[in-house]
Amino acid sequence: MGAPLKVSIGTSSFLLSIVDSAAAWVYLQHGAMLAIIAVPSMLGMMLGSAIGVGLLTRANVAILRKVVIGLLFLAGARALLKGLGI
Amino acid sequence: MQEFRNEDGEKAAAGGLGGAWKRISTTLRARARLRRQQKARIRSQRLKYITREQLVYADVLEIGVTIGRYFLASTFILYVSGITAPKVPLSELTANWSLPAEQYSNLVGIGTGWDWIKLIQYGDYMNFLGIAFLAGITVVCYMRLLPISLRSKDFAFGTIVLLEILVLVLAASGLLVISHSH
Repeated sequence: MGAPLKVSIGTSSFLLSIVDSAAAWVYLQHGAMLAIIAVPSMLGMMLGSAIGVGLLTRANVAILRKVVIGLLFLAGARALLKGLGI
Repeated sequence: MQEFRNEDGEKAAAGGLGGAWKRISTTLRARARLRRQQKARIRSQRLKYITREQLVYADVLEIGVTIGRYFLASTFILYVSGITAPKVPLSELTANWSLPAEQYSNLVGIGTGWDWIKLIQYGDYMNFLGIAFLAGITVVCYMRLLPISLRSKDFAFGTIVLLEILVLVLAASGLLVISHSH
């Protein structure tokens, strides 16, 4: 869409936080959330995003673009393989 | 003479301590003032690039996330160290965690909705408080934005904020809990 990459990453993270907080309530209401898995994941993601934001301000956009494309490609390939049952 | 010298020595020591404390407190106050000025300068610089609403949202989010992170880490340490007894022992948990959510809830005796709040004395369910706190921060951020948008007569933005609050409160209320009937 032509938006700068760093702004796009920030916007995407912000949107995800809203959607995820709404979804978290629904999972919580089911009472079947496993703290032993959920809590380390949450803490890890919080730590990872804090480090990521710190690096983002100094990172080279050209390298960042390649990393994002690579990760999206891997995620897409994984979803495709899972869908095909491979 | 000896007593006189001792008195003088005590006075000098007290003066020395008092003087040192005064110097330290002056330095600390000066540093705090400098930090406040730097913070204010950074804030005014940031406002050149972003709106006040964005900064307010980020500030509330930062405070909430910091509190939530430490709270969540603390309750998790209490849980894994065994200081607070879990509702579901680890052996039972690993044996049943592949079950569908509803079956798992029925098996371990957990209800739906806000029933988990009755189980917070157990180590595993105490962690739910931190998760709920973190999930609720977004609503608080939006609630902080609502009066700002109304004061600036930005009604379109105010309506979006209000709708976001309604959706999140509806999700938190438990009305959206889906039950599977067989």
